[in-house]
Amino acid sequence: MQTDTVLRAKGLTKVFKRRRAVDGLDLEVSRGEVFGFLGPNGAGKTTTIRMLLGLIRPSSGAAELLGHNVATHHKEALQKVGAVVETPCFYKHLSGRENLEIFARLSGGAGHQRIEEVLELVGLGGRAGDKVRTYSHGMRQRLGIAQALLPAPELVILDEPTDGLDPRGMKEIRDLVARLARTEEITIFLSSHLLHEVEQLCDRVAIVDHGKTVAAGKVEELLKQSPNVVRLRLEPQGDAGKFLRKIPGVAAVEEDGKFLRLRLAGAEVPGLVAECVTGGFSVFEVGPERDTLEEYFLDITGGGKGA
Amino acid sequence: MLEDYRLEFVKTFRRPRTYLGFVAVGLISVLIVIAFRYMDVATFLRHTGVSTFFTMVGSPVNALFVAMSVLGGPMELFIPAIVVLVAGDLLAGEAAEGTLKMVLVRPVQRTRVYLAKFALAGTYTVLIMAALGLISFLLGAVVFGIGDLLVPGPFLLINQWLNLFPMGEGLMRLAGAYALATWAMFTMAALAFAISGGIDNSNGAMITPLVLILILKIMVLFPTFDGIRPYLFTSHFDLWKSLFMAEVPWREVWRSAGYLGLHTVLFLATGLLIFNRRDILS
Ligand SMILES: Nc1ncnc2c1ncn2[C@@H]1O[C@H](COP(=O)(O)OP(=O)(O)OP(=O)(O)O)[C@@H](O)[C@H]1O
Ligand SMILES: [Mg+2]
Repeated sequence: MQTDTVLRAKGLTKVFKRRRAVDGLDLEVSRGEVFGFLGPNGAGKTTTIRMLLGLIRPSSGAAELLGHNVATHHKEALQKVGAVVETPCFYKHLSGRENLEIFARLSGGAGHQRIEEVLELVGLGGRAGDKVRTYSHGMRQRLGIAQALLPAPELVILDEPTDGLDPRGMKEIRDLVARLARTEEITIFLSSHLLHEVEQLCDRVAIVDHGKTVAAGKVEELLKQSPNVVRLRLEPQGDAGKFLRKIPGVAAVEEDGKFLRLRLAGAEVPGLVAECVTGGFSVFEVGPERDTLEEYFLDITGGGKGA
Repeated sequence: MLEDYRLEFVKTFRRPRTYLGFVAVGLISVLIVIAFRYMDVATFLRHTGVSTFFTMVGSPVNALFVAMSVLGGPMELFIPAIVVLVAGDLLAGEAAEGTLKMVLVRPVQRTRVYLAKFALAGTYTVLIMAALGLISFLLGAVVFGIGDLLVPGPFLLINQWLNLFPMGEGLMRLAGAYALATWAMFTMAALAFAISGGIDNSNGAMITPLVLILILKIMVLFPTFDGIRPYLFTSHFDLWKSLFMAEVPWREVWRSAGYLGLHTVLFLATGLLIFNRRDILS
């Protein structure tokens, strides 16, 4: 069955003892998207993914993959889905390739050729004969993704695939994910607690916290909603703050050493610079405040310093 | 299904610790042969009252005798422990290692994974019992030779009695006894395996069944519990001994075997129900 919604959650809820880990979550992911599932630690990302994959039973609500209900049609739902939940785990006394042979059989029999293909794709070709016991964390992550690719999936679900990796390892995994989406045309559902990762990779995003969606939509649109903060260095410094506060569209000005941090509400950077120049100031530096996105994320997930 | 079983077979038999059981079984056989080699068995039997009516010439110890004796003590706890060590690890071990979640996100039915794994536990039980029988028999043959099978009464908890089976019949009875002992160990494997499907660490699945049979065995030492004794599955673990009686009480043998089989199925079904419903959180 060809559907355009490849992943759907309806009112997904999981209650552990008394804690609501996931609370009435709705999700819809369309074919071809890279969908980011963003949330801080303990937000309920892994619990949601486990329910999506049928590892745990929802307390209420339902999950559908590729148009099949996961609870009632587990086999059909997972036939063309690859997944890694949390850290991928393997039979450590077997080699990477032997592990893939086992998972290939469980995936309905991907052949040797496919195994070599996915090993090549994740860049593990050279070490595939070594026991998994000897693999680094990054190699295991890549083997996990290779495993997810075995059934020639239409949808791949990855749970924090860059977690615990060094910057280079992170970049490798992100490049790999981007490549899968672009050249293999696989729909990707990816959880993360790193906003810039999602910003970099994803078309759409849902932000979760305490098991609930707190924001969702296209990444650019969400970013537009985030407060626009710029960093500015003007000379002379003395009256700059007072002057800037009077410009319409500037919501707040904060002095930060040599710099001024401006929260813009309507004002645009070119106009702002022009105003400063007419006002007799020399503009030495102007740029976006790097931490803004992270702060926005922390703000709406209630984990930040407070707006 | 055969494919699922084959996978489990590869996974288990590629693991060194699987072979520990066979090493243990070999050791036990060596020990019993050494014990018999340096023990005056004839005198020992006379002490137990067996030989008051007979004059023993030579030793009754041979390959058949060794293979029969090796079932005696070890069946109480040692062999159950070996079986449980593997059966209890099959599901819980994978849960602890995290590979269970990797397996269960593939398009596989939990029921099939469960049954394939139990089939493997059964295979392992058969192999362990076969190894015990063959190793002890061969060692016995090399050290003592082969011949007729002498069954001392005390071995069957019958005083002032002994039985001598010609070699051919002795071998048949031995084979039957091993088959029944294996059948009893299936029940043990099923219990450990069922527990293994419900928890995330294999220690629990290995230790719980052993503690349980210990408790039941100690319990039935007290006359207070005589009434419930026949209803405990552990009381039927020594059904194989009946095969060495002069007249095999077949009705009782079948009843015990049926009772054990019922438990095997009951344990497995309960375990499957739990495994199918449980949340995989590791
Ligand atoms: N087995 C469990 N029993 C009880 N509570 C649990 C269990 N598993 C998770 N939780 C709780 O559910 C909530 C969500 O956990 P979850 O692992 O889904 O978060 P997460 O978003 O994946 O976090 P992280 O980024 O740390 O991986 C947490 O509050 C956690 O404590
Ligand atoms: Mg998580």
